[in-house]
Amino acid sequence: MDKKLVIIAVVLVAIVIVGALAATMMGGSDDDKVVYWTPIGPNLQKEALIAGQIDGAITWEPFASDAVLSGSATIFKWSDDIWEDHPCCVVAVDNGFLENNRDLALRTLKAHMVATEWIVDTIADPDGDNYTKLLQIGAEFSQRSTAVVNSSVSNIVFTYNITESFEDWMEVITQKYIDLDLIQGSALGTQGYADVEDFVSNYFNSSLLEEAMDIEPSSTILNAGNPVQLGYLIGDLHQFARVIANNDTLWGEGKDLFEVYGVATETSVGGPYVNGGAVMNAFAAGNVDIGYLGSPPAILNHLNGGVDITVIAQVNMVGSAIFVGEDITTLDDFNGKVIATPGVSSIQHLMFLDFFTSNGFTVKAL
Amino acid sequence: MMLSIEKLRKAFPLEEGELVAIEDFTLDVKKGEFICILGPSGCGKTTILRIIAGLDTQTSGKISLDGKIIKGPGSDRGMVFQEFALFPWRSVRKNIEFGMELRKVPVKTRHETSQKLIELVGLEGFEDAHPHELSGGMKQRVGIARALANEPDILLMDEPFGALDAQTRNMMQKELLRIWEETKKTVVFITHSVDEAVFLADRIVVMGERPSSITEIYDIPWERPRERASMEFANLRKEILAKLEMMVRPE
Amino acid sequence: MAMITIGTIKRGLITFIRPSDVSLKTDRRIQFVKTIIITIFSLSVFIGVWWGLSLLIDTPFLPPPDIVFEALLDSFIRPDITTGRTMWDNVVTSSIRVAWGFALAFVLAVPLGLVMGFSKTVESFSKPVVEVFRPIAPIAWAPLLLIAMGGKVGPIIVIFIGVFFPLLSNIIFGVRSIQPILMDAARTLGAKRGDMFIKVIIPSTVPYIMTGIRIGLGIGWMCVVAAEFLGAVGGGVGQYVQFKTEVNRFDQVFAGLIVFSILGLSTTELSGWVERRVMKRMGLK
Ligand SMILES: Nc1ncnc2c1ncn2[C@@H]1O[C@H](COP(=O)(O)OP(=O)(O)OP(=O)(O)O)[C@@H](O)[C@H]1O
Ligand SMILES: [Mg+2]
Repeated sequence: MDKKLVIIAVVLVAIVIVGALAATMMGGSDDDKVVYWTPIGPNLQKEALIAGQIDGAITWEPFASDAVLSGSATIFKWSDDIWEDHPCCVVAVDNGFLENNRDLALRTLKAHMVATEWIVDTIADPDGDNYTKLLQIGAEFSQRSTAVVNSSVSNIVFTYNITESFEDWMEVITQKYIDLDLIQGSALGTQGYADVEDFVSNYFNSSLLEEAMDIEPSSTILNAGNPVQLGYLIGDLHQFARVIANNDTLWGEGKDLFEVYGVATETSVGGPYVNGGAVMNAFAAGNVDIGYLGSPPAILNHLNGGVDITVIAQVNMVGSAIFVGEDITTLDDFNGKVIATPGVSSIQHLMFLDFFTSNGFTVKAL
Repeated sequence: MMLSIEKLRKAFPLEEGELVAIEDFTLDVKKGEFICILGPSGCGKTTILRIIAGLDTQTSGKISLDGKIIKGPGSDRGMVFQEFALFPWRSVRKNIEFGMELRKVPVKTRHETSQKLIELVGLEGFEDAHPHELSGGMKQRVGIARALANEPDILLMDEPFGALDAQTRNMMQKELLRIWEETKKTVVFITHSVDEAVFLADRIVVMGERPSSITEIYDIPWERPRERASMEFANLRKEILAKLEMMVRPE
Repeated sequence: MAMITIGTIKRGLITFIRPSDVSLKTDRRIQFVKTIIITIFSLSVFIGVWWGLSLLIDTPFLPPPDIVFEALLDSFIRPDITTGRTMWDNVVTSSIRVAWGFALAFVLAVPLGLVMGFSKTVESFSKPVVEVFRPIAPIAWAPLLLIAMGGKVGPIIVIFIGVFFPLLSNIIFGVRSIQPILMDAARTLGAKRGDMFIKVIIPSTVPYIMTGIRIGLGIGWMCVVAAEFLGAVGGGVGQYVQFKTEVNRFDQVFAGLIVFSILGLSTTELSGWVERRVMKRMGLK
């Protein structure tokens, strides 16, 4: 036989191996500057940096401050320096829930507003007793030190209003998504919007904030036995208002602030989540009634995936950063490096894409 | 005297006890002789042939070829199987050359020999065909040529034409006799067909029921080719048939 | 078609004429055209149903075929922003992974399988180990291997595991399935143990090796998906599908699925073709 066949077989296997080798070699001959990204949850990014898996990360607070204060990283850029005064997280409500439980939604929203105001006031008075409490609550929630929380809250702007400049930013972000082809141009039409402006003015709805303004505390729980499912992100201090509102030591009678306004809440199934996209998926799966998440994923997965929600309040502005290990000091140093992001559907990822592509980098998944 | 079988006994171990297939089988085969072995089904014909070929070992008794005790398979004995047993992945030529390859015969000699054998068995034009492209008769021609390629002293044939239709079978018998006369091989040929045995053999060995030994040996000193229609042919055939029928016990 | 054997007497020898295979060819051609027409028809029906369903259900999870095909074309033309790669890059990456995993499995499984089938000692030694590992779904290894061996080697090992066992079992089965009479024939022709291995066992196992290859490649493509979902480094169609699912670009998700289908189908078809060719060459049909 058979010799011929053996030779053919050996030659075939050899070709496959040599071909695979050659193709493996050819992989890295790009002239362009390339920066690689890989999805890693913010709470694990510092460890990944120390382990040498990544060279830096884009993240939310407190994990930026944490990485810096632990001495393992430096901040390359604050998000405020990339997108000045950019909005970040928002509160969104499932449209079905809103239709059937408008009162509960408004009451939840009211608690969010009051908690936000409490945070703003507390931060304004760092010598007050409340500030110590705030640091402790933040530390407990994020599993980081009070020093880290102290640094973090100074980097975040807490606010709930849906303002004109917020809406302008949402138009910019939507347009960026479309330009990057993360959202199909036709998606607006598919979801029933005339254009970007039409989408933003409908999807971001400030009227509930006005309605919620006058809501008074309730002595009874209105939805006992059927708590509102709250979705939020892992250890994200952007969403500190939710943490404060959920705290039952600040508002008397052992109630948390939601309960003060008559609403029982609980963390939704599968939460807390690793990024805004995960919150959107939980909305789509019917697991979340009201969710805290970044505004970009709220836009992305609504337009692409038709997730049927409405954004009803802001949560915070700025407060994200790119932190890097010692190998990186200048922009050029990013060439060939691996940067972790919280995932493709996060505001940090969009910011990362925007920043590096506009600085002449090719962005590749690791 | 060439092949000598002395007091051969073969017992197969069973779960309980043993099955004695052959008992006290003694036979001498002369050089160039054409021996046919006849016998009822299951009497141990194949077993004897396999022991001669060295594929099986006897329980007791002695077999020698030209005085040498048989210990295992060897190229001095060629075997032809009822099921042909051709290597399906080898062409006709390659099947025939198999034994020569093993003996490291140089390629040139190998080709010359296989070509000669292909001509001898009448397979010109089919050198590169594979077994599945051949008819039964053609397959057995390859089987015979393959066995002859090792230049054995003795050809062991186990119902070689059993799987062929009557016409092809008759044709193959003639072919075999021609080859036998040309090559002067000793042949031990097992068959179920009395007609075939009478047509081919110098001597017919008739075996009995298990545990079997030789019941009768018929000498046939007739000229070849033999005339099937002749009286003596028909008479001998009848006689052996009657002998066989007597042995098969009613079930 | 039955074989026509015409015998003619020539110098006392019988020679044969090969059967004519002219009508056989046209027969096959008609059958081939028929198959193609039916295939086209069945695919059209499928796409039609898909189209109708997507209009009927009207959900982003099931985009209509035209949008998907647009996304598919587009994915090959330019690198997408999420992965930074074209679909072509991803196809090459995934294929290289499958090729590596497969080559490794082949190089180890073939000799081991042949020896295990042939030698009782080697078999009794390795069988317990093989039997312990075999029932584990290759995908179950993926998370561990990706951490332990990294995103480059890990996926290849996952594929290796996926391909190795079906290939090995097939080869062992192949060696066991050899007709004893062929071994007897070889022995009467003077074959020793070594000759038997090379000249009888290996060639008669080839069909089983080929079948193992075909099955193994199919499994290889399934493993590469799992490995790429779990964090393979360097792109790949699986990674593309995963990220596109995350950003809810379901048109692109379907494009990725179609690519997987084409890749899996073409490799098994190709190996099926090679299998048939080899069988034919070896006269085994
Ligand atoms: N390996 C074996 N183990 C046990 N018994 C066997 C074995 N081989 C053969 N036998 C038995 O030995 C007896 C003789 O078998 P053998 O094949 O030699 O008969 P045979 O004369 O060739 O029959 P047939 O004419 O049908 O070919 C049978 O009863 C058979 O069942
Ligand atoms: Mg028999």
